[in-house]
Amino acid sequence: MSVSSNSNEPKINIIPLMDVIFIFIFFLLMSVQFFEYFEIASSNPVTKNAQATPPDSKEQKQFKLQLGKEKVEFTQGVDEKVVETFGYDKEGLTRLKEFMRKIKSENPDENSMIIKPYKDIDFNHIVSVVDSVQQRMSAGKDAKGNAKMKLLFRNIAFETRE
Amino acid sequence: MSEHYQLSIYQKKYKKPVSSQDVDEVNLTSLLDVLIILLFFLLMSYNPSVLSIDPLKNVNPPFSESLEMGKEAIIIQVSSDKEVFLEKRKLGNLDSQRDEEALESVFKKEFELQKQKFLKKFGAKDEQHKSINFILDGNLKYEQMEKLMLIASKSGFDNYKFVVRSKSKD
Repeated sequence: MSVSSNSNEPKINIIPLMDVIFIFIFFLLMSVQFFEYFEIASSNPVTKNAQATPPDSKEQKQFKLQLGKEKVEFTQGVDEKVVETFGYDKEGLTRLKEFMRKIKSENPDENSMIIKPYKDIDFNHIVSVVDSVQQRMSAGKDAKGNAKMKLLFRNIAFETRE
Repeated sequence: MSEHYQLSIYQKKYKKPVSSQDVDEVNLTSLLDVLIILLFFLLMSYNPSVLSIDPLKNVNPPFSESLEMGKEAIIIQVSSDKEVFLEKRKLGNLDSQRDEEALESVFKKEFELQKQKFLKKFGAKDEQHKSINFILDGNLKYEQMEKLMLIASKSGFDNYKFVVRSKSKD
């Protein structure tokens, strides 16, 4: 005949522990901010008189984006001939993106862009223009068949006044 | 005992031992809920980049569509008040000429330290020791940004990385 063994061992009540954990998680949810950080790379700043020499282009195009107080001008060549003008508003930046794609399609070997902001332009505006310059474009497929992406103009440099 | 007498002979013969019936079972459902919530936090905070970004309270980097991962290098933060910080240690203010000179000497010192550190880690051929990460507040003017880049350039850095926040696409 089996003998029933009444268990007199102390039992841990985990319900209060679970309450503590849930309150802790609630505080974490309220305090944490989920931001992902990336970066924009730039090479050494160029001076006004120096000419940026893209290492991978045969002919020096000297593409430049001049960020003025109220507009962005795209210039080409050493004489900085203005080719097109854009605003900082959403429509202007959309046109700038399309224009960058067009310039890249006409000059596929050109990978550099000089950015010359006015001294009082804030960093937010500079980044919005750089986003247009460094859009991602399709670069074929890799060995596994996955789509490869690359930047329109990988090398950017800021022009300084010194 | 009365329960035992109510059972038939067959039931008494094949009844399971009482000791094996009195096992307390732990309800895992609630514990699994907690685990899933913790997993959710881990997944959301996961960052595949080797660079650990922790902006100061008054430094708000701009939003960008860039997806380039950060690489290991010294981190300089500049707030909207033009206060310059190295790894959360305040170095000075960009508006002060005296602080600018002090910044240059600090940058030179950090360049040498980074060079030694990266030579051991990556070897002589790698040029990563010339990189510097900037976490700039979005409201900072280009004049200050230019000043900072020139100081860094004089100190030996020639590869600048501007840290930005990811922008969710519409």
